[in-house]
Amino acid sequence: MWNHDQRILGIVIIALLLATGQLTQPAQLRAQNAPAQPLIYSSVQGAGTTDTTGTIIDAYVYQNQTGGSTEICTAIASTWAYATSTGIVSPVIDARGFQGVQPNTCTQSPIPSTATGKLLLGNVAISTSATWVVPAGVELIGMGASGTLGDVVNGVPVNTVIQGSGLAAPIISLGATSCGGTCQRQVGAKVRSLTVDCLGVSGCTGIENVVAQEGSTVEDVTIDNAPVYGLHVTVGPASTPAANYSGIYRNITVQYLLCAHCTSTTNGIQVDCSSTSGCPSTLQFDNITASAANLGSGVGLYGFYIKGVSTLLTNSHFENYKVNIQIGDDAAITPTSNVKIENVSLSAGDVLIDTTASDVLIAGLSGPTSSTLLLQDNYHNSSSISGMYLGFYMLGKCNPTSCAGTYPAIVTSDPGTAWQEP
Amino acid sequence: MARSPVLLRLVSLVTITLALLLPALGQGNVVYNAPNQGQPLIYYGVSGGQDQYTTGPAGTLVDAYIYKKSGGSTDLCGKVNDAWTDAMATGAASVTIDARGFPSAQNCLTSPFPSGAQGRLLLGNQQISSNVSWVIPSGVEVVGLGSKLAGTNSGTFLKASTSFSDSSHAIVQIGSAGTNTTDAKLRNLTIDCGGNSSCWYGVLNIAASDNARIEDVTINNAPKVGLVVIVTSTGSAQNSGSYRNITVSYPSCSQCSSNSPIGMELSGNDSGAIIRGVQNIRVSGCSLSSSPAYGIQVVGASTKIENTNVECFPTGIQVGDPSSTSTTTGVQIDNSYFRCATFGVCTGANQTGTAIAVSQGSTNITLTNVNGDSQGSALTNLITYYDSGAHKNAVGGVLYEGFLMLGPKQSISSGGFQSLLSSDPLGVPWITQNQIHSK
Repeated sequence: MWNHDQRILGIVIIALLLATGQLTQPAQLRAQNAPAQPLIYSSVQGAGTTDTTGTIIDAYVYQNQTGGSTEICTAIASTWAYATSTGIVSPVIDARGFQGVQPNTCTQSPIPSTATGKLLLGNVAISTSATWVVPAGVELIGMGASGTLGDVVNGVPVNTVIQGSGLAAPIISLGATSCGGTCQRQVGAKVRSLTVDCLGVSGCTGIENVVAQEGSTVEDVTIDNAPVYGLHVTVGPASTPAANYSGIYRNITVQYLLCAHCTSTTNGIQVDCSSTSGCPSTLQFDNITASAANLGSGVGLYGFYIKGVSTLLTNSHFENYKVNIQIGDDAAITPTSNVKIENVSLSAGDVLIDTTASDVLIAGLSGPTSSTLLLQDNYHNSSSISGMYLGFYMLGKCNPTSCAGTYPAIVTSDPGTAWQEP
Repeated sequence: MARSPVLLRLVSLVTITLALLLPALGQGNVVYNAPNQGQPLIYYGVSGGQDQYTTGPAGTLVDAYIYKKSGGSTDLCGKVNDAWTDAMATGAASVTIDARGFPSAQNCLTSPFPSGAQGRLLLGNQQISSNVSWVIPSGVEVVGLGSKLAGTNSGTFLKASTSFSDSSHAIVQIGSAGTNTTDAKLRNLTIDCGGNSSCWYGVLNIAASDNARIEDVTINNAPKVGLVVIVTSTGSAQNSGSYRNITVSYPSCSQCSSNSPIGMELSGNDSGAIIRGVQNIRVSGCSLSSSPAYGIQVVGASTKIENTNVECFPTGIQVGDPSSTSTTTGVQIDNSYFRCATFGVCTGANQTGTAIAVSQGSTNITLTNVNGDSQGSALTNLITYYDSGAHKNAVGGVLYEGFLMLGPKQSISSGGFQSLLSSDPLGVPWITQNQIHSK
């Protein structure tokens, strides 16, 4: 039995434990205050608490808290690794706290190759010497694209900008090809609301998708100064990892503010097929702008190049490329079928249907003057159409047994072009 | 040792008092590590036995409801403006202003956007009564919590107050006239003229071009036009869009009876400039007691309208000006559905007579997948157009028309024909180059 003094001592100890909170909240409270997570007020817990560890982590605070790298990509990668180490499969990594022009160049992609979740970027300009690979199940979301406002104005970034640093490769690539083993099928890789800028470095492409399939999208993106392709999408036979069934690709602007190494082969957007037999996979591009207006004479080849892929292109504008929209392989190897183009305006550059393209529907083509060359059809007797408007132009295919001496079916609103029955 | 009840009681009292007081004192010792006003607190670990909190850098994400500026405004728009102004002053160019914290009923006396603002404004579950027109500048995106559901105070609801007055007569303007506005966006909310006679239009875009977009928006009770987009070759809404997921309706429009409402007007000077896609549109005049004009009217603008539902307008979609021979060129309408009024009832002022009417001056028009309601009373016409002899024709019966394509009008010296291609087996024959094909 305890004596009197022991009882007093016990009361004091219990009271002190209560006073320091050890028997009430702190252990529980600390357990729920996860590093670098937003505080949520809780009347039960007192000052506040957080969601489950790893749910949503502020990368800026996490790197400060842990004394990690101040280089944003490494900080994001470390944050993501910590989040997944807690058991959360798909965290939200909030890197909006990194602001302004970042002083250190990224030397690695910030997203682990097996990661899933969301990465939020803020009002920041990031220089990178490594391609950012957006793997399956990851959504990369910025504050917005710079659009026509300029990328970094007076030393201040406009929305979210990712710039290449001597990078002769894509700045962003959808889908992982190296995952420390066999990658799962790449689906659901998304990029939204940001600007990528090649800064005119030779060999640089803005965004590339050669492996990410359904649910993989690019939306609300500006791509600047890309000497090779602004956006490059490659589909392939069913047996080959490729961008089959990807998209939609929507609200994309390709432009050249200052592009020292853009050349006569620079393309705005290219959609191609890895097989010379053609690819029946269908893709949609909506609300695309590609302008070579700031490039010199003879610089800028195709605004939109469709080679071997069934494609729907709508609500778009192209200007000042040698050919604004090229339908069909310019090397006359890969056949291109089922292309539909609707509500597109052109300036200084036409739509060219090449000799290996067939089954093409064009509706609602417009240009600035009555003398604008709108369309040249090399497949159909090299006919050309000029004017401010072309209501519709439908091209079939030639007789499959022999194209010699025959022309494909053609129906058009152009009064100067004869209709042709198949 | 002798027992001491007094000592025991004293020690107990002291320790119990400490037990009650110290946790409260401990909470007061929370350390804020370089916090910035109005920004969310982030847990920063423990130091010296004390919880540490911090925020992101100034201007990253500012809660306009919490943010307090000395001598600042008290209404939603004023507080947003104050928070945005001060966030910009920190050097941040594109900030996120979070106004989701404001409770339901709010007033706006002034513009929420300071000069030079860029970034994103988040609105919450609010019913905002505005005295002023919201003019969304370049580089700003306004994002609500969603459209208001009928009969509830859900979502984000921006309406003209009884004191609303603006020379534009629009609650929201995408860009301001005379400026080269780009990248201005509006998403996820309901706009309502609220019965104010000074409010004629829901949303007006006469100034914002590339990357100017409207998505997931409901426009209610606009007595003249719900959404107006005007394009000319420069300095207007050319190349703007997409306009996607938009509903125009009239649940309680006290000013509509003295006007002839148009759901959506896309107009211009036929300059070759396009309006980018108009997609997933629903326009309903079924709640109107007087006759409206058109669900959608396209005059002098080139565009594509797809996936639309128009109901209870005498003319669902009017292409071109029916009262003149002014030209409208390059319009595509794909996958549209029209019905009269309430199912089974097709009488009254707002019954739909014609689904799509193409005016005499309209050329290069492509209509595909046009559908009329198959229940109740039928439409009078699915499609009407004028042939080369200026005669009005109707095609498509009352239910379906697969395609109708009209080319340009040729000069009289070239025969005066307008190429025509139609899927209607009972309609006019196809017309190709100066040649009418018998059916």
